Amino acid sequence: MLAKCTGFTLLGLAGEVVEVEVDTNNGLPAFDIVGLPDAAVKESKERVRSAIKNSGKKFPNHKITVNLAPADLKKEGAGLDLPIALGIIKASGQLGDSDLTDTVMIGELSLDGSIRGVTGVLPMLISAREKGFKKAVIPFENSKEGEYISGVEVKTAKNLKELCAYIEGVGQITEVSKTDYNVIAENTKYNDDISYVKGQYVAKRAMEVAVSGNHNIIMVGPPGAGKTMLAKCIPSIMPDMSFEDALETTKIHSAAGKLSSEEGIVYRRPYVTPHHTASSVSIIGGGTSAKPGIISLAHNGVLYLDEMAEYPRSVLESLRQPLEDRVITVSRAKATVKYPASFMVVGSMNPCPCGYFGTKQGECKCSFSQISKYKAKVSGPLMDRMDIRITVDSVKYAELTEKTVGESSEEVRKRVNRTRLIQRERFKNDDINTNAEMGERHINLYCKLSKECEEVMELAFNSLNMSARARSRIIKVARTIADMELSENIEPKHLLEAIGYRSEEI
Amino acid sequence: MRSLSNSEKAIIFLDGIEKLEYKHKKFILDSYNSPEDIFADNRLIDEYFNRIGKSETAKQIKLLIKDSVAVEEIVERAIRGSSDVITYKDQRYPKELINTPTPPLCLYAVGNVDLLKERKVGIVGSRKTLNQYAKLAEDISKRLTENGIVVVTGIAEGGDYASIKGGLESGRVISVFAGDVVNVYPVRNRDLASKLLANGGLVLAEHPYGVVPRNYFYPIRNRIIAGLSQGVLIVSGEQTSGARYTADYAIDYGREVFCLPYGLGVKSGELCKKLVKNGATMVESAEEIAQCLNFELNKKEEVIGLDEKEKALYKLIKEGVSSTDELAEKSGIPIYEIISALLTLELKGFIAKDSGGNCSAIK
Repeated sequence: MLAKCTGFTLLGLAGEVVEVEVDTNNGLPAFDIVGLPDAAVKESKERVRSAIKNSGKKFPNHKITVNLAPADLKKEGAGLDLPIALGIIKASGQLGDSDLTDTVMIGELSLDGSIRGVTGVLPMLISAREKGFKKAVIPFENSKEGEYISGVEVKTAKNLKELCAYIEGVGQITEVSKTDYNVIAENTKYNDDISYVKGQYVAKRAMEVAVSGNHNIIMVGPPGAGKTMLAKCIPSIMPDMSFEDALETTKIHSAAGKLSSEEGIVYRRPYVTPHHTASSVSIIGGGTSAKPGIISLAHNGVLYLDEMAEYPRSVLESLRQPLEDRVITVSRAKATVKYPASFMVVGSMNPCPCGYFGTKQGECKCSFSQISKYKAKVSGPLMDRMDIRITVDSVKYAELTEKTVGESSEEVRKRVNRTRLIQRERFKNDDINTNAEMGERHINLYCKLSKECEEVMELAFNSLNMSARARSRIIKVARTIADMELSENIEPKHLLEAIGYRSEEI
Repeated sequence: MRSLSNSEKAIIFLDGIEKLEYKHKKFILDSYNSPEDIFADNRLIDEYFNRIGKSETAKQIKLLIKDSVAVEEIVERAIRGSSDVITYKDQRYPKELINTPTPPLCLYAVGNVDLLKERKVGIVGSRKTLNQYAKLAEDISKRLTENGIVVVTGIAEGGDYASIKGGLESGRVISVFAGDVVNVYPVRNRDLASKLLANGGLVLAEHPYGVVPRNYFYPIRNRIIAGLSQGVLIVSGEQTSGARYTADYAIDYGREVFCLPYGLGVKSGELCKKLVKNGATMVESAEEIAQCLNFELNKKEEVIGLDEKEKALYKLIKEGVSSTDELAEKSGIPIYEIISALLTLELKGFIAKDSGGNCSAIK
């Protein structure tokens, strides 16, 4: 007898429909899975056999053939256990004549018949909705991921027995209740708040400018100056995530298996800090099945590179292209996948190997060549993508014990939201959203400099030894500063401040 | 390159023998009426080396001299890369230098050799010169060069770099290299050297083509900088800095030594403080140098006005407040206005920022 079920597998971030066909024939008992299964899918044979047996059903003593269609698509992961098991039960006539093909089944089976959580449920559900499916059953563990998908009736099952009873019409399983994203987003709490950072007025202002225009920022300072503390606060002042942004980020986290089962959706801007020993594959993405890397996990959020000069050159250089395109294409023999990677880079480094060059409290013991070698570790082209460069020095003790509390992240975030809105309005006919993404064309169009401004630029160019490439970077930052002050045109003071966020030392 | 006389070739040839000490070279050349005679008559060479017990050396030199093709080759190779060679017998050889105890026998030159005729002031400093001092040195160099003075310096980072940069516009800078004229070391200043030459500057070296600068060349090179200059400004230096050789030579040669002012606990200024204690002149501007050396700076400095905010910040910086955060606290001006005001002050040349972002007044 032939039975059909519907499962899903992930190809990058897109869920692909897998039609699971099970046929039982007379002959010597055998169990074959065809249709390009990977190791985890092949092994499901053993899990399915035990799970069916331990759920009070009989494993048929026939020759069983499971076909996963389309046959040329590589199927991955244990999420196909559930449709295979249901197909076998149905094919052996133990499930009545209910139609299972209109319900998406996702789940891994345990030997005792309970259903375990899998990765990538959210992107699969989104694809299911796009492909017109109206019903889905997902593991109980992943129930949070179903909360935000409207238009699909998502149910969760704890074990195979319960699910079979439901299909036969004699039992019930829980339906996932829908949650309103806006409610969650409004009550977002961040652990770090910018009001905890004492002193560091320049750095705080620079952070606000950076976040407002999505500019990359690098902080240079001695150890213990508070660079990490400042960086941690950045997500809390970043603009609120729209539902679409959140969903996109969640998709990546879900596919990478990084989604926490309590949250279900990534509503806080991600803050990712890879260690400097990380390989370029782990940062960019890769592996045999082209998994997303750390930069994709930082999508719509912050990629914090602490001690930037310690990263291998190859890792830093590999960031250049995604920084430009805001998307990364990972190509491997088995798959070529495009992952979104629109993130803001926050870098930090010491001014020299010993950490005290040019600072007030320590004495630098490095030789001149050591210092220039250290600085040269971050290449010029990458440095060019750092729109804002500031030096951060340690705060004085008096500032640390200061009682007055600075502005909270929430207040700053409100301003940032407003500035971002101006930018969205400006770029509504272009394919970009923020000032940092502007190319030469946009700069010519939206950043006209008055004669006065040109004079300031010229003066700064001649006396500060700036490169031609620095020009567009400064104009972009000046545009953001002007937006922050709701000024239509870039004024000399905006330009001057933008130039102030450069440091030719690095 | 102009065609060289036989006498010049003889000097270049002898000067190019690496293993021969300077005093031997000088003695041999001086013992002949004309340097070119060494090709015709080598008895004096024999005599000299036999007397000091180095007949083996004499043999080798004689062997080289005999082969006129080889001599031509050596000379040709030596002048590769330079646009002119000025030997110590040349009329154009700077008078200040010839009067020192050990004038280089040859000065290989690229660029405008006429600069050698003019009034020269040396500016040197260590590679670890603090930003505000580099900025000041740059200002002084700019003021001096635009008033007809030629600045003599090296090509390293820090003090040298600043003084070349200051004089780049007028091109009135002589940069003395430690190796040959082709080898710019550090390599990253290659661009600066070519810009200097394009603007009419001069590069000098005492070594023939192909000599790579070694660390012990630098102190020896410094005698040329001191020897060419009427006075030498020491921008910065630790106790053991190479700039101390320049100062020592300048003192030996009876030239004026100037130092920039340094405060307590600044390591890169120890040399300057020590020199001042020993009688060097402390200066803060090009005017003071001009006054000491008895010349006038005709071109007056432009007076640039400051607005209220800039004035307030400038006053605070002069009082010793250096970090931007502190300035914000003490002045009560919003931080974003401070950032642009500080930049204006920097552009107007009132303050300089160090690599830690701290400001200091330089006027």
